Amino acid sequence: MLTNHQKILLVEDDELMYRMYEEILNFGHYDILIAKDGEEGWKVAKENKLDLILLDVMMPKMSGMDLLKLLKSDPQTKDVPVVMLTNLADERMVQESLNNGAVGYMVKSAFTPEEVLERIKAYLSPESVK
Amino acid sequence: MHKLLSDQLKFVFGSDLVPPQIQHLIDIIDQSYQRYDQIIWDERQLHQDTVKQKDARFEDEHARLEASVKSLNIGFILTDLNKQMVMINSAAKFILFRHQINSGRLIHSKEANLLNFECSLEDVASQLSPKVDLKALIDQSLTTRRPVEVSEIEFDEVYLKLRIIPIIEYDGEIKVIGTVILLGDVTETKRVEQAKDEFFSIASHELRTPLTAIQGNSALIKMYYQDKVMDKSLKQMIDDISLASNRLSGIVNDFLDISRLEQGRIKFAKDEVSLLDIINQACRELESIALNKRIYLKIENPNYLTTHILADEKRLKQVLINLIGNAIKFTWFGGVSVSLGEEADQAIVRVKDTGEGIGQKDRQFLFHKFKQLNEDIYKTNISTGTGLGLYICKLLIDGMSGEIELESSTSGQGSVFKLKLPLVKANSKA
Repeated sequence: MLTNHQKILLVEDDELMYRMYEEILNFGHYDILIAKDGEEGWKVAKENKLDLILLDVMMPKMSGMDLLKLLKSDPQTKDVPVVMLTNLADERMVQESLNNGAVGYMVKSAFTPEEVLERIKAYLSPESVK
Repeated sequence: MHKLLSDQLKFVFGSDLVPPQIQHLIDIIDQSYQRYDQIIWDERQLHQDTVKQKDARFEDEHARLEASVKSLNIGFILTDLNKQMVMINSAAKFILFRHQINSGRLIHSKEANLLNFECSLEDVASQLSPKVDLKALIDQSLTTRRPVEVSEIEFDEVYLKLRIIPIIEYDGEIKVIGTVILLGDVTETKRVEQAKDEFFSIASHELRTPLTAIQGNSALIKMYYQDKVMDKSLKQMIDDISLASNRLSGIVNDFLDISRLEQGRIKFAKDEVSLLDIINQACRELESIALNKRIYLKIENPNYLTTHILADEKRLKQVLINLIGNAIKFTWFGGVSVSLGEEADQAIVRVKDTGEGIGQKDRQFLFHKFKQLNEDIYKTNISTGTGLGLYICKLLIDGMSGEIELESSTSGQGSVFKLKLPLVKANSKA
């Protein structure tokens, strides 16, 4: 398949969600790596050169928030933009993730596939990184 | 006294020398006095009996009343006009002072301790302070001659409900002679409510993930696999799945909004926003629906184009979409107009329709939870919504320090909803 060679890691434990996101990202022609919990996500992030990480907040073993802190504290991964995937537009959790270095967040149920792609595109272009 | 008179006469004439005419007179006087005495005595007797009876009845009444008040499991306090305590029942003492009472030396029993515990209205007021200014509330009730209620006071790990009722006496004119203060422990109700809200919230969250997958996947099929879906009825089924999941998602979002609003978990931005801009955005989203129904949707009052208000743009838009959407939904001829204006320090938005109107008996429940206008559950049309829309609007507008009301409604002629929102003060304008 034709790809634009941008590599995105999706860390998400719910298979309904990661399969849907995989499908969406396929249509955006990205290289996709999937990790099904925080520990696996950490491993994959260390082993690959990534352009973006989509990170679910609630996960077994290691929560998204803990993984985010770990990613931001490691020189090898700290510059990869991380976008949090959340189920709840919970202001506290959103604020906490932004404080911990996430570039943004997406409420999973709030966007159509097209909108998800638009936002990912925006996060990947360097001028939009806030 | 009459004895004295006859004695005096006897003395004047000498006891043996009373002339017979005088003696006759004396006898008449004596007799009438005796009769008078008898009448007075009888009267007094009768009167005393009635008073005694009345006293006894009054005492019975009093005892009954006191026993009732004392055995109430709701706190009961009586005060007079000078805000002095007339009585307090055990339940009130227990609710307010249970720590002092329990920690006090047990002389006899808990019950005896409770009975012997003495307190003044000052003590009661200081227990409730600073959550509630009891004396101010009593004053309010005395001057307005109306009950005052505080529905939820968090006090000492329990939740209390306070109600102050003026005691009104009619004695030729209306007089207020004091107040009754009722104190209820609503902790259990509150807990059940919290548990229900929590369940509501968790259930809604759990529903969202699978729902997102249904919505997302059907959107993906419609968007990227349109060419693979040739079969007409298969295409219809996919459209239906998409439509159903969108509708369901709307309901779940309503549930979530409510639980987060009720728990105060939604923070409202206080931005300076152009009211007209937001109204325009809301109207743009709804104009195709109005167009399809062949009714008009217009914005009036160009004079207030510059009105800026303090509000949360996203949330205000949600309210306007709901109000205007409702108006469109229930209008079949004519249309919907949105107007802007100002009153004192408030910006005013009116959403006026020429639709069905809202019946008198439905109005009082208009902004209540789960209230759809149509008492009959079998007639309720779920496709028109959950009946939560106006309740959410009210919670949202409250959160932005505004007000929402049904200004008028005439059956068959339409309704006017009125919104008040805080204006940006002229001097604080950039």
